[in-house]
Amino acid sequence: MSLEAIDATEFEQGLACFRLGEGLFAVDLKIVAEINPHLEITPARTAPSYVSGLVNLRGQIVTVVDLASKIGLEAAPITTDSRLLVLKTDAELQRTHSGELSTSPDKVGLLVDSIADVVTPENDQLEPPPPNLNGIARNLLWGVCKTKTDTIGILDAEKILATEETEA
Amino acid sequence: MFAAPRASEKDETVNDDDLELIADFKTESLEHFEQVEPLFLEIEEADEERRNEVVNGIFRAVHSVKGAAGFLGLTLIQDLAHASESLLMKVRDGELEYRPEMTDVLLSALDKLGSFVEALPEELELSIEENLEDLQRMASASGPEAPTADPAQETPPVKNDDLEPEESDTCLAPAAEGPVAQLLGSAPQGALEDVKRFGHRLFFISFPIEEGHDPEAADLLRSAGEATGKVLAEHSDDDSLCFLIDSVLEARLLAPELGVEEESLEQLDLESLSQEASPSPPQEKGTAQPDAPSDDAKKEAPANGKPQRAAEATETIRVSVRLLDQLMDLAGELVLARNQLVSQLRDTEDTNLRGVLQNIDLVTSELQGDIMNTRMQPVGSVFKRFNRVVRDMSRNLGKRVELELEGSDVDLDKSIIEMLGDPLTHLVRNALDHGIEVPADRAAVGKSETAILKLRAFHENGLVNIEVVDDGNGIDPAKMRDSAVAKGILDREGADQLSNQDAVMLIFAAGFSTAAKVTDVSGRGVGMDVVKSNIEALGGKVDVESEKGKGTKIRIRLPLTLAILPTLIVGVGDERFAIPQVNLVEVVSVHMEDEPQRIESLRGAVTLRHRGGLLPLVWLADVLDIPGVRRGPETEPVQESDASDYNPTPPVNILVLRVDQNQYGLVVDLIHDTEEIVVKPLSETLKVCRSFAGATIMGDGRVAMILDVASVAANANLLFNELQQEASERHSAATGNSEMREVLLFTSSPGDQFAVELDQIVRLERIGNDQIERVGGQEFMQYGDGGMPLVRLEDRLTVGAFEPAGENLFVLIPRVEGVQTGILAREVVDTVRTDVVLEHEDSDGPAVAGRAVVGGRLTMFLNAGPLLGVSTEATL
Repeated sequence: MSLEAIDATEFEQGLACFRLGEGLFAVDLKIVAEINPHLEITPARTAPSYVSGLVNLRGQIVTVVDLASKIGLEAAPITTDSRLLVLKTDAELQRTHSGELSTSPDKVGLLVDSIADVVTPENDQLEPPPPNLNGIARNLLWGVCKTKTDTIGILDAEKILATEETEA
Repeated sequence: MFAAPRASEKDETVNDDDLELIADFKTESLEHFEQVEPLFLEIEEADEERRNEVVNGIFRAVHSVKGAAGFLGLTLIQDLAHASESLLMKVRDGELEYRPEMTDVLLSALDKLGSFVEALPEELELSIEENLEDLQRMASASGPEAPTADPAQETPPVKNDDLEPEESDTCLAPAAEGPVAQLLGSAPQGALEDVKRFGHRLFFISFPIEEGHDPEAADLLRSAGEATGKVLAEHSDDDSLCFLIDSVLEARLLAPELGVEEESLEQLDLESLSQEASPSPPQEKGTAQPDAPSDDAKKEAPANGKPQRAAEATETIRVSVRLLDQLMDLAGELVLARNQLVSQLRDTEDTNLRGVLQNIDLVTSELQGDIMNTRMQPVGSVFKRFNRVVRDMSRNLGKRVELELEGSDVDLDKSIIEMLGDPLTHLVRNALDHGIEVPADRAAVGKSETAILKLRAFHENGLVNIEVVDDGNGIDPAKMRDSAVAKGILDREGADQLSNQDAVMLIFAAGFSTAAKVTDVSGRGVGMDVVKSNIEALGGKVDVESEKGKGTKIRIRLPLTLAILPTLIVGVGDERFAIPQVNLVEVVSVHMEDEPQRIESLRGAVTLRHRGGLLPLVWLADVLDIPGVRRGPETEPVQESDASDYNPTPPVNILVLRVDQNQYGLVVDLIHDTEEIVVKPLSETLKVCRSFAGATIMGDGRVAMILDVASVAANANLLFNELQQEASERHSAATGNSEMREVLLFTSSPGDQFAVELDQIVRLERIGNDQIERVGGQEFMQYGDGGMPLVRLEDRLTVGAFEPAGENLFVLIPRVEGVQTGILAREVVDTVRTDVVLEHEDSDGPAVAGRAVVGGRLTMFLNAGPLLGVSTEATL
């Protein structure tokens, strides 16, 4: 998982970029099942604060993770630009990528403020997370991707979704 | 031995296509066997008419298996099926009286077939000789007429090359008109309808008998015909031999199988046949047909006209569960679209459109309901297999047992049904083997000689309950205690302290078996603990109730997860929640103007006067912390004199909920409707939300949470002891990752609090500081006959140094195999039951189970074993 081990071919399908507050972030496109604008979220009361609630995705219940609060940013209100990045489950990834990738056993959607482009990075665009990155839990970042205009934080979905026992 | 003429030619290398065919064959055959087994058990009691139906049903199943096996070159299966079929045919055709021994012989043949098929694509090398002999003996144990047995059985195998049936133009249709009609008339009852119903093909073949013609050729053709299909009738006269063959194959495939030219096969038109065949009376049959049981056929004739077949055949197709899930999701989408349509067009004036809309509305709901039901199966599909188990076992054990099934129609999710089989089998076997007495013993204590074993399924408390009840000998608690001591599961003292109920529960302890002798069916000392763990793996619970001499009742409670659950939908603010109907006692609406005294607040605790008692009230909005909606009273103490001042805006909707023995009132804003919902489990992240048992998707496509009423009460701090226990147990059953433990809290230094599970502790000694002796670097105390080494926690862990609080200190003596060592404790704080989730850090090592906050203090949970295990190694 260390950056040395990763080269750009890791993201050959591209990075799904999105905005959270002021920042631009991304996850590996390979783990994204779909991007959904329907956000009739049923709140899950007494749940950990980073869980916005549940939505029905064609009969499947998806747990909505408020990505901003999960990585330590301020949660933004849901707007018409807000999108749900529904991730593939472990089982789905098992089928397509024979277990090299992992997210969560459950169907999880990441709530983001708005969706941006898909970026396919070159090797020299990837960097480890800068040491002065503040506000964001550094261990949740895989690295950053520099483009001409932006710096994109690449998030490690598996680490983000690892259950936190402290919430119990 | 039986002729297996096709075997030699089928020895081709197995390719993928074959594998696929074999896989299909396997599922189909297993399904056949499953259908057939209960039929056997019916045979014995059935009257003649029903028996014929039953035998026919079995025959058809065995026949299909045989046909497919022959096609796939599975000769062992084919031969065995063939022999079974021959016997069945004789019974069906009335050549043999049905005798109960046949059931055993046929069942054992069927079992063997089952094991062959199970093993596919592996071809087992089991011997079938014995089965064949039995079957043959049955078949030839002559009924009154004992006609020439199936020629295939009597003819020695002949090489295929010998068979060269001469073709002749005489077999062409016009010439064959007469024989065809004759053969059709002599075909077994119902066979022609079967051909049509199953979409088989019917062939007529005829060839002349020439002088010096080898009679074996006819036999060979006959058995080849049997291998690829079924010879329905045959006829021979002076110069020709005709067969009527029912096969699934097309003419061009069948011909080589039979070793004849394709042209010599005449396919008969089924449509015209059915008209032709039916009026042709059985009397027309030829006389020279060895297989045609003319008299019996007549006897059967009346039964044949009945619509029995249609009723018998359960028309099913196999569909993958994934497809069903998809259908269910799509139906959900449809409902959503329907709802949008309805709300868009709600105010339309167009009556035609309204009609259409109503129709769509109705059909959509029905569709969704039906699709939901596809995943559900009645629990009877597991229950029915016990007919056989009970029959076989009671016979083996010389016991008389009647099996009663109740609630077979209770629906359970398919996946749970599948997992239930094994544990239930264990329980039934145990009941038969250990619980139920032999008839003589039963008579001696004044019970009826025939014992009753009951399998019951029913819904209760949001759970599906399944009970295995016997009226046998029951479990003797005293015996359980003795046995537990003898097996070293408990010491005498511990055993004597057990309540009778707890002693009976010992049957679920690992390595426990009380049966005096070990039998081959149960009593291996595994079993019950396996049952327990299996059920727990399903998220369920097992309980046992037993009264000595009266019987035993084992109850399995399965969680509502996956099962369809009737609920009441309630609303708080904009949110909706589903409450399991089973927990709901009644709904009360209180208008404060009319009944100002009914709701009162006493020191902040709000109660409802209800049916002569006081019902504690809980506001759902409070428990779930839902912002911006009407809530219960402030929790600050209200002046007692002002108690009646509390006056919520009317009306107040109160759901009276039951949790075990206790009831409480849950206040909600709105009461919507009752709805049957499919429970979807919560994701890992949400398992910490104790108030919810799951989630569901409502008719309008939105998600609603299902309330766990026990946990809601616990979260509202309702202090029913049982209530809380129930809630946490149910919670841990639901999540499976936090367990209930009973721990002893103690300190070593003034700062740190530790916990050890009570199970791990044998004794707690309070001694004076001066009773500690030092030998070398080691501390000891007098214990029993000698000295017991003592351990300070700071020696093993990085914690504050032990420091006695005063004159006295405590010594904890843990239960650790082969080690007797005490742990020094400053103070014993308390014993508590807790289900906190432990956090483990790798740096803690094995001696620390984890940390959690207990009673407001961070507490380190210790593992006595590793803690002292390390210490012994060090001291030795």
